[in-house]
Amino acid sequence: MTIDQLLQFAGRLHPMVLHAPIGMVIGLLAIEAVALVLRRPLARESRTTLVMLVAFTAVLSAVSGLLLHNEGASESALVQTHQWLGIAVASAAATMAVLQWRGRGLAYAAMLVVTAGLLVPTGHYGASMTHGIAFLTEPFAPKTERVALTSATEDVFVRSIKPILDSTCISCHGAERTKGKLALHTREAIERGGENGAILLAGLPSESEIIRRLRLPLDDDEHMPPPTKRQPSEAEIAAIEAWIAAGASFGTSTATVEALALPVAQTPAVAEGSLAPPPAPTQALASLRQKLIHVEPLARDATLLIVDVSAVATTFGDQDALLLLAPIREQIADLKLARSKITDATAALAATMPHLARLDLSATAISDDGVAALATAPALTELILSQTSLSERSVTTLSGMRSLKRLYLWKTGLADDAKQRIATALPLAIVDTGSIADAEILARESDVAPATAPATATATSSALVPVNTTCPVADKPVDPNFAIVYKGRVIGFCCKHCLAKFLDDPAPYVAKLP
Amino acid sequence: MDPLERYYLDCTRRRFFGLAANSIGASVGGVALASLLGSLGTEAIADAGAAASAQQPQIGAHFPAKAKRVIYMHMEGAPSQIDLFDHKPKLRGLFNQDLPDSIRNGQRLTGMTSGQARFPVAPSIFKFSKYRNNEDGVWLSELLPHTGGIANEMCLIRSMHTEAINHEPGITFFQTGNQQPGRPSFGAWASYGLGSSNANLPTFVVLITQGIGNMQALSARMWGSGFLPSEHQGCKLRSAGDPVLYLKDPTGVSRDDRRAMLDLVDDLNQREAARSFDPEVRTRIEQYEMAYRMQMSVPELTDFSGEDEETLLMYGPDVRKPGTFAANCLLARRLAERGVRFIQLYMRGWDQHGNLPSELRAQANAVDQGQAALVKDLRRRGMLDDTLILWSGEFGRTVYSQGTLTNDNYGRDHHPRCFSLWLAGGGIKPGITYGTTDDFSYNIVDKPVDVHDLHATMLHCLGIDHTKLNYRYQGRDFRLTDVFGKVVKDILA
Repeated sequence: MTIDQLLQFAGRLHPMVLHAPIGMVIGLLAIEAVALVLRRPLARESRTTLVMLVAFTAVLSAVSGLLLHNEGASESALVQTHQWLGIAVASAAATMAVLQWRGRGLAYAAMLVVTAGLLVPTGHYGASMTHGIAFLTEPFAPKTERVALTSATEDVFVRSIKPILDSTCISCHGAERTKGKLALHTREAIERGGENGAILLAGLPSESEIIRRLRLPLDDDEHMPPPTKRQPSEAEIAAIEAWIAAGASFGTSTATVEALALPVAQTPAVAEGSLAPPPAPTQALASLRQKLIHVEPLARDATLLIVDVSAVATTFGDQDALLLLAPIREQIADLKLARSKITDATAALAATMPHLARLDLSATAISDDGVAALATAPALTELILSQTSLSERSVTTLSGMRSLKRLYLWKTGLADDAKQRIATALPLAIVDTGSIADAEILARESDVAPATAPATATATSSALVPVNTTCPVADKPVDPNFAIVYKGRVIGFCCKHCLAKFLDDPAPYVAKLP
Repeated sequence: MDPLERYYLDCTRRRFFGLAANSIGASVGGVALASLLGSLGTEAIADAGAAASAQQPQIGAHFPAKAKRVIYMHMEGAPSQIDLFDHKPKLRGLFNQDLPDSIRNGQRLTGMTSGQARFPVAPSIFKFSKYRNNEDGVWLSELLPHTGGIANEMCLIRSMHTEAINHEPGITFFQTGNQQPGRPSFGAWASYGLGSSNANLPTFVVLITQGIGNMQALSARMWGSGFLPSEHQGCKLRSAGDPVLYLKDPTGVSRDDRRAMLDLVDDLNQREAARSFDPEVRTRIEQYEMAYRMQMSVPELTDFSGEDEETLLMYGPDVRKPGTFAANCLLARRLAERGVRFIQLYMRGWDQHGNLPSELRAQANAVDQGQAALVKDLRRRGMLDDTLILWSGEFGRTVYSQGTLTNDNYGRDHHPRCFSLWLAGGGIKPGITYGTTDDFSYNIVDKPVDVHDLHATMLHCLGIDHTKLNYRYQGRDFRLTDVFGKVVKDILA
């Protein structure tokens, strides 16, 4: 157990601990009020006990909150506000306790009111983080947008896609603002598109404007969302792509959600990063690195991982995969097992990785069974099977893997026509058969009439015959290949070294020329 | 203790916060927490030291990368774009005519031709063929028949230009982003920015092939790490004898003896690391272990006996001779397969000042089949998608002849104002050409690309924002692209 893990644990107690000061402040306020109204003095011990408890739990909540924040929560304004308010509550509660201890009755009472007052916004902002900003006011919100979207309550769009749009797009493209005449808050608005026309083409994510914009480099002017705004994660973009690829339907049943392997948002209201997996356990990553297995995040802040066993490929087998890769099953997006000793068992493990997009199994002992297991891999788009031994059964399996974008089949034991059948069955995928055929020659210069040099050529070039026959530097016969024009005269040399020497300082040699 | 050492190793306030921020997170909460924890903070520092020395990126990709590694084939000496890539059929009618002043425009020349009384146009004597690519075809020279076969994978840029006019500054500029020596090379930056992905091999490997033509000096600082920590410098694999010097145990020392020695040294180093929290000690421990592992991994790497006959045939007959370009191409593929981050191949001897027709033919022949095979081999193994390939010289060559121009012989001088190079693989749009030059292949008329732009674009493919890969040295932040560089978005896939 490391200190990091302990701190992480302590931080996660925050949602529990924080309720203690809230309840006790209300209680303290109530008994003080009752005592005031009934003009009956409060027992000193109960008051002191309660005040101390309030102060202690308030400080505990603030510290655990900071620890939780530290674990990688976002830096949104909401979090910031909640953080500072929380620190203020803890300070107020502590001050209150000191004042009470010192017997400053009036100041204590004032600070109690301040503490209670601060708790209200603190709690509100805290709750907004977990339940969503609009949670409280939702019952009063105009019903229009939900009616349009909840026609089928369990549809893919509402569960997986709308939360992404809500968290990343609708602040500029929604009911209040419609930049570029585009709104994404209702089905009708999405279908209508913006000033540049439709934003999605059902079935063709790569042709859809929304995907094109999301996929542009961050510094491209057309990139959406603008660089200063929250960017959707890779998984979120992939989810939108998968949704469009499946027909961009607004009313699919849950069954299809699973079949599509769309990451389903846990709580639709929790916007930020709901589709990215939680960070991989540090212990699991440490054991991978200890075994010299390469693991790196997809990008600096991503929780998705690239794993490459190349360094230990010759000894890496199914046991290692189970032991080392299973704990980070959720996070692996790109897995290279090429040249390793794994078999179908690891392929089955890979099939359970929810975010695995690229899998390299080349030169492994994988067979038709392993390929069959991979058919259910939820997010797989690139599969490298070169240098394996497969048969007809895999042709059927692979032909059905419609979500594949790239498939490598060099030296799989499959005949050319079998590869061709797979390619035909997967029109949207690039199927590499392993061909090393050269690009076709469209035209040859030598086919057209050879361009003859102008008749003057020889005559003119003879003008470049050196004026000297012996090299002015080495006094050897001149090789016409080493000649320069110097002050209007063609001067020949025996080799390139003499030429260079001459150019460095021509003076002593010029005299030797005829 | 030595007071100077104490000064360096003491936990100063600045060092404490620097390391604590690394290990716990740089947020306000993190720093507050570190101070809250008091003595526990030192443990965090020790952890940070361990983290810094482990085989993991110090920086990491800024956004998901298209390419995980680079194979950079540098053609040292500057190949002639006019005879290989930049097809100028109109020049045939201008044989031996003077280069118009309006084209040269007073541009500086090297001392090798500045004395020439006239600059006679020398059209390429080589025939070109048009290969199918993903546009309307690309004209390539008869000298590169195999490379023509991968036209559908190549992104040919004909509008490169550079600042340097001589080899040394030209190569230095290409390797380090600056003409003056002293900056880290591209491979070192990649190593620094992304780290290793195979703990058994160096992150940055250099392979050199001796050329046929005039060879310029090639110094080790071309793959140096400049002011970056020295672990990022390139490791040159030798083509003859031991690939890495002093890797073998001396006679009489067994691998067990070596292990025992390393264990003892490790124990001492661990104590020192625990005492001083100095991450450099951790780095040293790692380096010893790496060398020990390389004793096993390097011989396996350079052993081609597992390669099948068909693959060897594809690379051509040279592949069986260690050190040839074809053999180095195959070795590059094996390095890429094993996750080496940056593989740099040098082919020397492209400096055809004279006798270009015969020398260039031999020179091109030495690289053509191997480099085409490398691209095809990576493709069918599913690795072309995540391997970025660059093939380039340091500048181009002049349209006018250096020395005597005859019907079948000519030479060409250095020409920085335009030249051609090609990219392929991870993140690059395949089968396209980019940029155009004038009819003399002398000036760029459309879409110029400079060396900084190329670097920025390549870093982009690696998931790195070139403006954010910085290293602070002598009081200011340095980067590969200095204060320049624009990502060429049009060539990105």
